[in-house]
Amino acid sequence: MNQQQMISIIVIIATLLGMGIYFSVKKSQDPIKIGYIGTTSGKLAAMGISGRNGALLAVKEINDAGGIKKRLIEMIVEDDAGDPENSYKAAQKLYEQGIKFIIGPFTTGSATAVLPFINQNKILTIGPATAGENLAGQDDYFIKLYPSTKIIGQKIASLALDLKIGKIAIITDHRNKKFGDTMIDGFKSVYPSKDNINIIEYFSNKSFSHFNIAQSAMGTEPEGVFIISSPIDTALIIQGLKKIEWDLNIFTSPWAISKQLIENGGKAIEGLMFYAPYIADDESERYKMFTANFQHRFNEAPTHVSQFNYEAVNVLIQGLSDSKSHEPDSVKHRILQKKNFKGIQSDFSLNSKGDANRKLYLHKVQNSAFKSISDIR
Amino acid sequence: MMKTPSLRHQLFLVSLVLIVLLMGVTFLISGSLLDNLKENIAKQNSNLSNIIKEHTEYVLKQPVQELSKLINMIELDSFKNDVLIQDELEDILRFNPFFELIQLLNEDGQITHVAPYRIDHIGLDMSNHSFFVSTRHEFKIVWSDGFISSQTSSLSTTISIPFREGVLIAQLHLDHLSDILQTSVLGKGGFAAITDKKGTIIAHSDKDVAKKSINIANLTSIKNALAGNTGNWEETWNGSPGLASVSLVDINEWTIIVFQPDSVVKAVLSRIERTNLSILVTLFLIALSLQYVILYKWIKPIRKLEDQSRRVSMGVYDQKMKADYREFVSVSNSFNSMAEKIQQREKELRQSEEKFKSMMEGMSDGAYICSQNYIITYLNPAMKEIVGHDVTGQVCFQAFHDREKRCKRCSFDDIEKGKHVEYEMNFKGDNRTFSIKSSPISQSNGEIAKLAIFRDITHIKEMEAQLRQAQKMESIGIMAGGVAHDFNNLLYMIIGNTELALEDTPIKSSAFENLESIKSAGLKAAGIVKQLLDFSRKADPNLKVIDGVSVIKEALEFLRATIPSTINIVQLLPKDSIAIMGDPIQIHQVFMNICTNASQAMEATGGNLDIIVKQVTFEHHATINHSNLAPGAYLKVIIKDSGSGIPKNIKDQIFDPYFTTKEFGKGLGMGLSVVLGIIKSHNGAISVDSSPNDGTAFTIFLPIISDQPESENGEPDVFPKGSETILFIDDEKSLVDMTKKILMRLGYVVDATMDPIKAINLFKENPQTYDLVITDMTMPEMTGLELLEKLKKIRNDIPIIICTGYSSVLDEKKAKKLGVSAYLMKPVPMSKLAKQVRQIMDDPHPFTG
Repeated sequence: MNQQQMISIIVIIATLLGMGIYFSVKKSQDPIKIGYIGTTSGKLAAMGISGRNGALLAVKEINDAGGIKKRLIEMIVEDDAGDPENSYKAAQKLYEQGIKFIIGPFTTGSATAVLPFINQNKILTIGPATAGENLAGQDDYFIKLYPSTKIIGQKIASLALDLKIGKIAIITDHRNKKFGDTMIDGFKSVYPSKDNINIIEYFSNKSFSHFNIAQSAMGTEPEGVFIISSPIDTALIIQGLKKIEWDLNIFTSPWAISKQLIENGGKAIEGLMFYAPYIADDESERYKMFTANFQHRFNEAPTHVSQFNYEAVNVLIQGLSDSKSHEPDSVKHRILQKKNFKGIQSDFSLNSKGDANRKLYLHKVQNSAFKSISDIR
Repeated sequence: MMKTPSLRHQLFLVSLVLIVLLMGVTFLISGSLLDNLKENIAKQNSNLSNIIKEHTEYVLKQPVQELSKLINMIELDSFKNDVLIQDELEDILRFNPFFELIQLLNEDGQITHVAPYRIDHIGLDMSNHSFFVSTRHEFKIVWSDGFISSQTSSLSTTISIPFREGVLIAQLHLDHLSDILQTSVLGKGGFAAITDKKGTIIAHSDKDVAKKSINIANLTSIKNALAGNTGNWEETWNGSPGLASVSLVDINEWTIIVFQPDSVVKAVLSRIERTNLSILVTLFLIALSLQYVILYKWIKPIRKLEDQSRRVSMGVYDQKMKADYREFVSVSNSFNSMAEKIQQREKELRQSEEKFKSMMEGMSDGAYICSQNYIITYLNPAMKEIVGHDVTGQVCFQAFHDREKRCKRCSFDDIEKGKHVEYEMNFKGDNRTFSIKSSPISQSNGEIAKLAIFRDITHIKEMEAQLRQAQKMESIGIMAGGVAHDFNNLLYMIIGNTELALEDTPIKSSAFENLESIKSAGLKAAGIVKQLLDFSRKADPNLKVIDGVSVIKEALEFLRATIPSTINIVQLLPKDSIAIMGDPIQIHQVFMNICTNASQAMEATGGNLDIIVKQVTFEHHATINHSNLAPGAYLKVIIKDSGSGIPKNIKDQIFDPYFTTKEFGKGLGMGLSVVLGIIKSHNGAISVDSSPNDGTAFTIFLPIISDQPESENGEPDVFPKGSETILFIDDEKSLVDMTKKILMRLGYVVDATMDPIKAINLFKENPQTYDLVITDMTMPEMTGLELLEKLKKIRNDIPIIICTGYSSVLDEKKAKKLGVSAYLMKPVPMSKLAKQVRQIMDDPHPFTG
């Protein structure tokens, strides 16, 4: 081999090496893409947008901190408008873009719709606010951060029992049936007399009359009413109920907990009780900081949905950071292995199936505000 | 050497520099344009933002106006009952499609009227609603932020207008706001949007974005706008830096943002730059074209001059340059004048060259020119012929002498000093001799070269040798003459005394025989001396009737003594004599020349030399070797040797003068030429027949004549006697005594003397006493002719016989012309003397008679 050939080989090797380094560096500098399926339009948009913004805040904070091993996070947001079919399409769309991690969807119905697809394609999906019991207890690619609605139902039932409520009417919105049914199941599992439980299911549409629903519920002569519906519906139904019976114990699900509930509930919602996996009037520094950051970024206060979305992103980031490879199996393994996570307001843990175990806080509306209470007294 | 700059290149460079400067200036202008452009775009954005703002305000004021009218009517108690108010609400909703919902709240926050009418909504407590609280608290129109209506799922806002008895709340959708933005002229990546007070987009030039409720409160421009700082801000959107113009809608403090990414600015700038570049390139090309055209026009006369100069350099002179520009008139004239002069000079030069060339080419002498570094630069044809081939370009000592180094005595040493050198030279392996004259000549480059003239002097050398031979022969002749004179005197003494002794000796005695032998030997010796004299004497042919056979015999006898004994001479001659008209001496020379050649051809090996003589007759004219022979009898002589023969290729040349195959010094090449001349002068012919290794035969034809040759021998000796008085003069005393005795024996009275003066005196004393004077020719004080002259002056009719051993100044013919009665060559036998004396005594003037 002469000198010229030697130089040629060295140049070729150096070029290939340089190209290899360039592409590996380039790849290492590419952002990590994660998908987000939320509900930023439609009737659930208010909460959905708040949830999306929570996720965006988490992504922003991570990127501001330098990303994961210097790789930034890029979140691609898809809106399902609260329609499970749209959620499925959104999941397909994200998958086609090569995305292996998704935060969302917003509702249990949507999550149920995308579950087969994400399992089939091994897309690690973290549901921030999906409470449906049907999503729990499965060793799949769905990690459920919201506690089971069944437990919430059980908690409400226990509360009702504590308040010596002998007969109860449960009003539930058919649009989020899975959410409601599981919660009702939980309620039923605790409440001793099934006969004293009257369930009023309605379809929330333009023509529905909250007063009629209230009347229907009151027609069962309940001693308490448990409303599983959206904030406005819940507020209006409560106003309807209070028109008929002002001193009525009314309970609601975390679904209704929002500013809209307060604004549209008037004085009727005073005394409304609910269990939530968060503290609505948390005064902790950590929560204050989160709230301040959120306020700073979006010029509005966060909701608990914002908080859960924020935490969902952080769980995923934790898994990605801990995992050597950014493959869904590896990340899932790391997340489940870590098990315990630090939440904004309280720590939470995941079981082996990826279902979160969170503490539930009792709340009551007092002076047009949500107040956490230790007990009903 | 410095490269000559090109006018074209320089002009091109100047143009290029100008273009580059222009480009630089253009790009500087472009740079400043960037700022102006940004400013313009900022202004444009700002204008656009304001237009959108005004449009938005106009749109938003419409529902406010509608609602305000309603409130006025309510406050003026224009409605007689609640039904009319409800109807009015319904009408407003019907005729203003942007309204989704209108609620009339009392001061407690309870809904008193709602459109579209919902009975279950009447009485709902909205006192907790933020806009109710705010409106009541601030008592002014309050606009809510954008939100997605839970009833209609559309992006909506709520306007709350306070009045004395409550609050009028209207929910109106904002979809049409995005329509306002569609008309905005924005570049790629740019957008126009309206955000609420939270910074959430409620309208966007891309309607799909508007539906996403994206909060952009984190943008610097939005932050500033929300803080009341409107205007233009550097902004980054989706990673693209750009310029954002923000303004606030007066009635609700919503933000209008118009964003243009820098890429748009840059695109415009790039477009400007591209345009500039295109213009520059076009300018450049135009400049190039113009430059080409101008250059073409300017340089055209120069190119023409160049072209014509080139043509002149190629020898085309019949052209005149015409100036295209006034500035070139002088140049044109100078050029034309120059061309004419060059033409004239070249003509002269050509003539000179032709003269020189014709001289050199036409020279029979070889000539060559050699440079200082010994390279042959020129050879004329004669020189090429001498060398054998063209050696131009070769080194002289290699080409001419096959040497590796220069010759020891190279003439260049002297040539360089300006000297002329002459010398002679032989080429290696060549018999030719050349006289060489070398002269220095000046080359055009100033160097001294050598011109050498080679003259072939081989012929001159040969001629010189021939001359030397001739001179030698002449010397031999002179010497032979001298020797013959003395020999003849001595032989005369011997023969004469022998004859005197014989007279006194008895015939049959042994002494008599011995004396006869002496006499015979003396006569033979005299014959040899005669032949020697004949051979050496240069004389015109003296044709006379001779016996050809005898002459040939004599020649062969003489030849025998001169050729080697290894060569056997075989003669085949007729017994009878054959008369021919010839000069015996020249015939003798013919045999000498041919036979000498033959003997040289057989010199190494020996051989036979056959001489055959016979008589032949031609009935008709015969042509022998280009010689035409008349019919008749001829003496045919064949001389044949057994030598190596004559090569066929030179057979025709052997009779040419100076043609020889012999080594230098062995022959001049004249022998056979002389032979041919002699034979032709005898009206004969000669031919040669030869083949290699088979000898050569020469055949000679000489015409036979009918006359008989003069006989010199055979007659018995007779001694006629007399009594007259004879005066005898000879400078040799013994001869005087002997001759006196002989003449006295013949009966004459003899006065003999050795001194011519004394003889003259004797004669003068008694001129009539003497009847005859016999005198020697060569005497110390006076020659025989002078004596004759003096005696004739005394007595003109006195017969005189000159008797000489040899005289180079007198022969028989000349003697007769001078009045000599007889010319006798010593030794004169007694009988001949007696006869000649008696004959003259009887006829004193035989020559004159």
